[in-house]
Amino acid sequence: MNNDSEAVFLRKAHAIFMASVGALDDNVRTRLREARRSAVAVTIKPHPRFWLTGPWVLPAGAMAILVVAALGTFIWSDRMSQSVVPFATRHHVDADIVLSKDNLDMYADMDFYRWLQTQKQQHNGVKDQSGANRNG
Amino acid sequence: MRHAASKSPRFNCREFNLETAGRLNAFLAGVEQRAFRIAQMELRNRDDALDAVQDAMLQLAKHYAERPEQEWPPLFYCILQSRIRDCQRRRAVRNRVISFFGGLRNTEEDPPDPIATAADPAGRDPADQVAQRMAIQALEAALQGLPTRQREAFVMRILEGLDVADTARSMGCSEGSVKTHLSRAVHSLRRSLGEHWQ
Repeated sequence: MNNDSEAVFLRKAHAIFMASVGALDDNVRTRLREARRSAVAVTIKPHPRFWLTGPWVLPAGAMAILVVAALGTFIWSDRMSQSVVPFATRHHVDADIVLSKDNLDMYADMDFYRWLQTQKQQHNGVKDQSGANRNG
Repeated sequence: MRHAASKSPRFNCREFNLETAGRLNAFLAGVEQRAFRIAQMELRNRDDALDAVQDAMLQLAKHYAERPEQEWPPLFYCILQSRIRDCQRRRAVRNRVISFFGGLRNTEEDPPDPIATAADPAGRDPADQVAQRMAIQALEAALQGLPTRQREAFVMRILEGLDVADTARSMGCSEGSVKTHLSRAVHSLRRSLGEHWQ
């Protein structure tokens, strides 16, 4: 029967093919094994977290960066404006002096007056010591 | 119950990946050697055949690992056939360029394999080995003489053993076309191989 002979032919073709598969050398088998492992490793990579993916991540990140930048700018400008405030107004004792129109010149020389005070104290200290030496 | 309820989605995804990897590994281990022989018969070059199989495995793992397992065979062989055709096209273009500039040297086919010509460590009968080698060479030569679609139908249905539906999916054609291509292929091969296998 034609079908029987065809079936025999096809079985023989399959058997010859499988025999050639069995005759593969070790080098080829090793390379195939390595290729398979590399391919399978792709499926084991960690699954990305939902909140790190998605189309909303980029706009949300950009908005966050803008908010931080605006906050930083506000704080920096606030500090800069504080730094030009006269030294005297940082101390409540000198507030009346600064606010008084007549004494603005005195504010400008505040450091001078402090130095003067220091010199006076040192001078008084030296005078006391020399007086004590004369008497003693 | 509490343990199952407390499992995070991240943990479940990891389990799914490992389970998929295991099944994919088992599938590829079962087909890799046959796929290599099919690619080698088509490309007549061992390194090209290895590249084609490696690429097909990688593409399947990257893009289709999460498909149902029964879809893997036709997908894998569809990718493999695509890679084989790409390689054949590149080779044809390269040969045309080479022949245009300075003649063609037939460097694509494998040189004689020293391992294949070495003595068989299993100690099989040399006459059997020669007969087997001649039979496979005859089959390869006869397959090379077939049109591409007939060759693909024969290789997928008869040598690899896919059913008609999977063969149709891997070839990207209807089941009727597969049967037609296969019938013509068998008729041609029997005519050319008949005297070798009687």
